[in-house]
Amino acid sequence: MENQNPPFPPPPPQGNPYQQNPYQQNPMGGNPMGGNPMGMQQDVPNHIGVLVLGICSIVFCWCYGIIGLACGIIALVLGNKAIKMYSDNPGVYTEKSFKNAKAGRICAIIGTSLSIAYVIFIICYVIFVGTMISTMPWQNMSRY
Amino acid sequence: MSAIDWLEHNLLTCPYKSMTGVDCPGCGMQRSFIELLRGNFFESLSLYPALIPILFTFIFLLFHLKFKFNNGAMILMYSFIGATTVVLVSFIIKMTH
Repeated sequence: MENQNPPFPPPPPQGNPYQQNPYQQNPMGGNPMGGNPMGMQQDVPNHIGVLVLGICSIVFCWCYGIIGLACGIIALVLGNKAIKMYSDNPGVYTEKSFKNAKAGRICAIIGTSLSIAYVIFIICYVIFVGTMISTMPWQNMSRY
Repeated sequence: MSAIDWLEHNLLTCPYKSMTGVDCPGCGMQRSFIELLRGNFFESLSLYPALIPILFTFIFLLFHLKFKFNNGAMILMYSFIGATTVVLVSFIIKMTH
């Protein structure tokens, strides 16, 4: 009864954290209305990385699909972040880089889903072969 | 020519195929690439049909990053979807035959 206050600090104010990013990440001084006083637009962050990784996710479909899965997931996360930043204030970023990020994200979605399907296929195959080998009546077969 | 021979004798083995004996969706890509380097276009296509769309996508990606085409991202996306479709269809055909 003595300790009325909870030990943890009060929750932070509600709000979209991405809406505060342009203040911090725009060194050219973008204003909150979305326009840029310098007349210069910057690229959406990581747009090249999203595109390259999204395409790499299908190029590296071999090797258990693990490399493709990693590339695809990284590209998906980065692409979602970039698209969210663009849609929060579209005036700051160039349209071309946004198109790159969007195309990269779609490539990443396709590559990731294929890689996941392939990994699931491998797991099913291993389980299937494992059960087949372990349930084989080896003792009976050794008589003949 | 000797570089191609060296490549042919140093192919990476697919870990999945060496474990299970079943082809993976990327199997045949290196053999197909070597046939393409030798100039045998049709043999390359029959070994791994998806190599040429994938190479096109990759080279176009490099050019797009360098020269920044206007509709480059859209073209890349569609060629990527096409390459993926070719990979899937050729894999399914290879598995069922």
